[in-house]
Amino acid sequence: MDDRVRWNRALLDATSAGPSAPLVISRLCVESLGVSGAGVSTVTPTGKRSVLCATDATAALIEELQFTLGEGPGIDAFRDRAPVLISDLDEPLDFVVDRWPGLLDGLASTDVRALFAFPLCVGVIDLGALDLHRTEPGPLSPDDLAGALMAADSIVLALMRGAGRFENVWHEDAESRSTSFRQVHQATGMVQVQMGVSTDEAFLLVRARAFSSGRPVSDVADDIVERRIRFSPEDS
Amino acid sequence: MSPPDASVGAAPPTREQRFTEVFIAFADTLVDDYDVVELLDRLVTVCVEILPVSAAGLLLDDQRGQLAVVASSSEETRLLEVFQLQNDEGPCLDCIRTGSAVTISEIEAEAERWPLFVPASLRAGFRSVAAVPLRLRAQVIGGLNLFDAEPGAVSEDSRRLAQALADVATIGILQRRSTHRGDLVAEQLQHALNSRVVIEQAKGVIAERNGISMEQAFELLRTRSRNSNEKLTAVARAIVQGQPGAAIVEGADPR
Repeated sequence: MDDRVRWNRALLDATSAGPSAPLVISRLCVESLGVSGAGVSTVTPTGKRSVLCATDATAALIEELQFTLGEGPGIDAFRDRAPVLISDLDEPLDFVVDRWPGLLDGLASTDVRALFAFPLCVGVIDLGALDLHRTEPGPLSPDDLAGALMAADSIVLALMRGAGRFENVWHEDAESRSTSFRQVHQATGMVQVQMGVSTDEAFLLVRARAFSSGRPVSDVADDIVERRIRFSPEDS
Repeated sequence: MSPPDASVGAAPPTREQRFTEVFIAFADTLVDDYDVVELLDRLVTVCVEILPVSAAGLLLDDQRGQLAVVASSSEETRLLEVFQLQNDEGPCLDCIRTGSAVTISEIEAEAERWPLFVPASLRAGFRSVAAVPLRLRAQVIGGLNLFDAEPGAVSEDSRRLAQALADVATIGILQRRSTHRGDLVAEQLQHALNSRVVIEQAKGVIAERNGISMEQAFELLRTRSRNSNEKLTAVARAIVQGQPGAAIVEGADPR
């Protein structure tokens, strides 16, 4: 992934792919991020895990093993809300051996050498994890790391978009997906209270409003925070 | 004869004593179990207290090509704009790109270099600025930005102190207790960034519920964290998740 603008465009297109969006994004990761396979699992509020998609048999095995054993990088990434990046399984750090004995056994017959897991989360919104693997050892390059983080952000949006009742929720610009604008998160919290909805629905409502008014989401968020825009349950 | 008063005659702490206290307090925190957002927040507050500056902010590389404001000495919108604008241009962005401190004694003189940053800073009431990197060996993860209402370069002393505080921030972000020791920088940095998102979501909930500003909402959050002796991020998470509303995605909050 050496062109962030093009990568962002590809991810945005993929988020429109309906229920198959996570798989489409996983395939994009394999094409562009120098990894061999990708898979996505989600976790329900009660902690029930389900495998959503995998790009190949090995990726499917990684998801299935984590599902069955309840251990692995994706599980830890989800729980810690931080990426877990293991660049060489043949020289595993002590904690890998300690924490994922079953997973290492299960992968012993495969050629998986590196595992990179990314949480699907935005603040309190926790949806699951994206697991990437590579048959060659070595860390993700900074560009590929950026690409993977952006892919995880996009899967979050795709999952919410798929479950919500909003068709058009964002502009085709990097900013809509960005998590770097604090007023967007503040606005999400405010709208959550105004509408009596969950954080993820409020997250979508703010974006849907930006889309329908043709404005950047950070501008709309500013208006919400400055109390120039107010959401009311009667509007919906 | 009045009883002896311990405070009578006791000189106020010198600058050096104050610095010593600050660094001892941070060292104490770093060996304990701490909340990273709270640590960074305290750090920018201390900057404004012990350095001759009017405002301070910490920006982190979000590793997706943008800078995220993770702590600021005030919630003032104009100040936050000046921080955020440095996604495009400004001393903090330059400092992060080069890994070296940037010191500007007269912002107004840099209008050609930074056509967006300069007017925004002047509007916010700032005349001088400095930025020091958050750096671990060759990797730069962010920058500490200091603004002053008066022109004049920060002294070499102040710059060195600011760098030491930036180093505390770097250590604070990167040595968070973790079960993992993979690619630490990326793992820890993303954790810190996501913790900040939780704080912002909670500020929104609190501000709306109580009809107060983000600044007041943050103060309320900090007070609640102090009084309950719970970590800031944990209190924030509980507040956002305690808000009614069913999750629309299987797997989304509330847990």
